[in-house]
Amino acid sequence: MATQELIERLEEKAKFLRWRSVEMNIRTAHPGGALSSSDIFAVLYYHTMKVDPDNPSWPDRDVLVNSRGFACEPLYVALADLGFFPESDLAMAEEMGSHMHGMSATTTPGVDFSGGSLGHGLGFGVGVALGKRARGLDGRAIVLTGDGEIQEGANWEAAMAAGHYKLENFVWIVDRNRYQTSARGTEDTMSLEPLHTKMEAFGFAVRRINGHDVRELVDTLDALPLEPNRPSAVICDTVKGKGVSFFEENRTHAGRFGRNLDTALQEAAIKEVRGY
Amino acid sequence: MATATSQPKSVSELLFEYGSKDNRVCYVGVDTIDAAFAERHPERVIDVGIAEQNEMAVAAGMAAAGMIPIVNAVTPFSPLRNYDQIRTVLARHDGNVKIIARALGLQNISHGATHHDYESLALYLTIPNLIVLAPAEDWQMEAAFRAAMEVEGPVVLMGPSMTYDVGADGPMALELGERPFEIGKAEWLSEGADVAIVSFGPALRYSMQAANRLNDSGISAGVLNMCSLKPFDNEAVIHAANNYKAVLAVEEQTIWGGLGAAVGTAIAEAGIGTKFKRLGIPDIYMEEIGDYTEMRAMIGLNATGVADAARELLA
Repeated sequence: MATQELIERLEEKAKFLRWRSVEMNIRTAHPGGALSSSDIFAVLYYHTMKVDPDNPSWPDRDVLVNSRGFACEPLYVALADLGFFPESDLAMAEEMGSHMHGMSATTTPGVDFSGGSLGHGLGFGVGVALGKRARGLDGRAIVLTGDGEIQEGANWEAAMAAGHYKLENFVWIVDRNRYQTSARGTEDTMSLEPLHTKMEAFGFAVRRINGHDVRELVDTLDALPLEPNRPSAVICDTVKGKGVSFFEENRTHAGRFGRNLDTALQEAAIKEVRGY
Repeated sequence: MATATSQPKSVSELLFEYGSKDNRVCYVGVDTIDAAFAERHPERVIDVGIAEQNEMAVAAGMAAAGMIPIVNAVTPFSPLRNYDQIRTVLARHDGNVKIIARALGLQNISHGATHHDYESLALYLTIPNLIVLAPAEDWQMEAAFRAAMEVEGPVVLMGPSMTYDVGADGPMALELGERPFEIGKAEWLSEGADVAIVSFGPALRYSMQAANRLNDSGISAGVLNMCSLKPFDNEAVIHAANNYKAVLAVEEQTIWGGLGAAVGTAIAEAGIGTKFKRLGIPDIYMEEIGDYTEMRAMIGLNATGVADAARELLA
């Protein structure tokens, strides 16, 4: 059982990732997913994952695969905060000479997977889990996908293999914010539900939680592997654009403050998520 | 530079050899396993089923965890079904993976156009970080495999294996004996003065037959084995263009974007004016019915067709 002190600390970290993500969104393009996944990133990087900023390629580390590539802002903020690279780099994202693409890639210290082309992360993560098992290494392969991304067929090839090989060191986390590029939402575009049942049929032990409830995230991820001899899947129900009221209302997928949005709006958004 | 032993080892024997001395070496297949290696090291044999996309993504992930996967790639489904995985997941991460490409060209002719490999070379050549080798025969496959294992990164070996029954004129393996193999270097199997025939893989066999016939009829033909396709040996091609009256590129691949395109580009960029022709699979789906010998004859990809093309080019 997580202490109240831990939960409060992680909630502060989530708030930090959120407002810093909005702040750097003048340079990056996907605030909707960045805000829906900030609590997940906070719990992963400040509690669940074993990583070492001084030795990013430590073989026994947990390997995070940010499969969709976008929604990279909280990942960049967390990595800088943990010391993988200087925080001042955040102000240079997507500029000539920066290591930060608009989709997270291995050019950035601490990033293990170059994402962007949807549906590739799960198979890569299955390979990482198989490789760790064959080499007797500690650490898990943790794949974070979006939900629209799951429409790519390659995911299901990978899910089949994760179940078949009983990859106990494999975790599939879904940021289930229910919206993709099209503002119609996943269920009107190409429906995913019942997602829980589909994952179970592929051999996963599955939990479905509130992806903004830090305590639920901690308790669930502390329980990994959810069952012995099975890969784990955690569906995190989230809200696209979480924390910024006008993003939540518009279910905003993409957009940049200062480029195609207003800087006054950005300041209002930062104030809203930071609280001052 | 790597050298084969006097009796060439099969890929399976090489997998066993390397896998026995290095526990990072593993096998990844699509509804295929390597039985001998699986019996000895079951934990290092991964079969993803009939799932080419996952095969390459899994191999890339295993490489990221420090393994050295040897991937059994059935052509043309690799790279057609998994081009993005090879490009974006494997090669972009510079994964230390060796892809063994099988059933190249028209070997699987009887199954129809779904199973014809028209374009794997053209696709592989477009991928950064990927080294593309085409060892000509088993003796060169062993040397090329050893050279590939010395590279820390992705290598595709477009091997010589004849998977299917290819007819009387098909599997005439070249008796070329032990050879060194160096990445980035083509090799002259014979030299001449009139026409340089540049080829690789399955087409090298009938290119050699054609050269012998041409030499018997008084036309001096040389044969360049383009066994390293990427990095591409521009120097060897420029030597051909400068020292022969004509250059003929022969490949069991579409004429678009493959060997002929690379040879022609090398000559043009060097500013050399010479007679040049691409001989390959024309821009068609091959829907007629016939065996490997008959179907190649139809499009001029046999000894007669290559020799005729050389004579026309010199005329």
